[in-house]
Amino acid sequence: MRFIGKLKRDKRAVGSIIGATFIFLILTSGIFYYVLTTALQRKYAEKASEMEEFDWERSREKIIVYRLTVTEDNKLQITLVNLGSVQVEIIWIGVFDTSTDPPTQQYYNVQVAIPPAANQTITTNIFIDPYKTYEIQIITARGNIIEYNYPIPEPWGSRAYITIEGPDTINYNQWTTYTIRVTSVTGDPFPYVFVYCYVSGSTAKIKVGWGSSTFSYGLTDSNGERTIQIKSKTRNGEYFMLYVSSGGFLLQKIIYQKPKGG
Amino acid sequence: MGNLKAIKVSQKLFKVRFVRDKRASSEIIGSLMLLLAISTAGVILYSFSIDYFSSSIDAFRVESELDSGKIQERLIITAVWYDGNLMNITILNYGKIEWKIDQVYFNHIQVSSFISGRGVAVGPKELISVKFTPPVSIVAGNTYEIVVVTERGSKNAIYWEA
Repeated sequence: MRFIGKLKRDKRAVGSIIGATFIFLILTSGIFYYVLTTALQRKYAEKASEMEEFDWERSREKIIVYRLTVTEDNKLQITLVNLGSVQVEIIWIGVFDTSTDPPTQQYYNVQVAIPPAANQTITTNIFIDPYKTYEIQIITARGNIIEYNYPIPEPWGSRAYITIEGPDTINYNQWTTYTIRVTSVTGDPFPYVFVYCYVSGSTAKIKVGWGSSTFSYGLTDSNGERTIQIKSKTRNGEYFMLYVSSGGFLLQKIIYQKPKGG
Repeated sequence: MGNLKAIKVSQKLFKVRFVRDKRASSEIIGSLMLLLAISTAGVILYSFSIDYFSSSIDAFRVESELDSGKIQERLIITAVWYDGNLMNITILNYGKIEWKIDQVYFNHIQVSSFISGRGVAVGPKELISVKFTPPVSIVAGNTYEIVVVTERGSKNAIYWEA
């Protein structure tokens, strides 16, 4: 009887070891599976978040062609202004000769970075025949494409002229009026044309309806004029830039905001 | 008389012990066989479940890698031109990883006759020119929908006026 009792006890012990081993293996496999799937999901989430940020930055890119000219040796020269809040990297310039059918298309690789509120002149090795018409494509690293024609079609061309009328110095946190006028060189107004304005200061704003923003856009009135109001409230005072763009042309004005109480 | 009785008792005890011992050995064998059967069944079940889990992990990993690759792909058609015979599409990779163009649909019709550009790896910030014979006749002034699709399934569409 004693012998049988001992045998039963031993059986239980072996059974427990086997059971414990299986439970350990099952738990280990489960944990491994969980850790692996979680790691894969985390990796996916990180990439998705990175691409969301990339898309958001892409939507923040705002670049315009300030000047599109040809050098004396007939090489394309482009001056770009970054009106957006993120640095823009220009990677390709496409030149399509539209005077032929079908247009010949050529892409030139460039590497130019333009910080926010800065301008950059790119002198290329691209030969331009001044008697031909071209479509110029500027492509950024984030996939935005800006298209301009060379020569810039009338009435803009060399005849467009933008003026900004308003003070060089403004008071702290006080709306100040500026009048933008788009005319021909001879002074003829360009009514109902699109004007885009942007201020680069850390606290500078343009009045838009009941609110304010760093940019504003709209059409000139029947006199070729558009009025905007600007204020800035940097405690110690600040220089900032007002950019006005219309028809592929851009004018910039430096404005100084006095310190508070100054 | 006394001796005879003692012998009988001794024989009886021997019989009992013998029977008990027989039962004990069969119990040991039975228990061992049971243990072996359970262990084998457990090992088989465990290996099946490991196989299932590993194949399911593999499938999940492949799907996850495909998805994470796809979300990093970005492409845009920058230019289209037709020389009277061949279509030429220029596509920019502005994503984070390289891709390959797998299919082009022209007015919902799959392009079958590629000249170049299909299956070529295009790295980030690179342009690729895909040339093919259009599956429909091109009429000047008409608008055509062109859809390009990568191997991972990302696509970009453009309406092009001939």
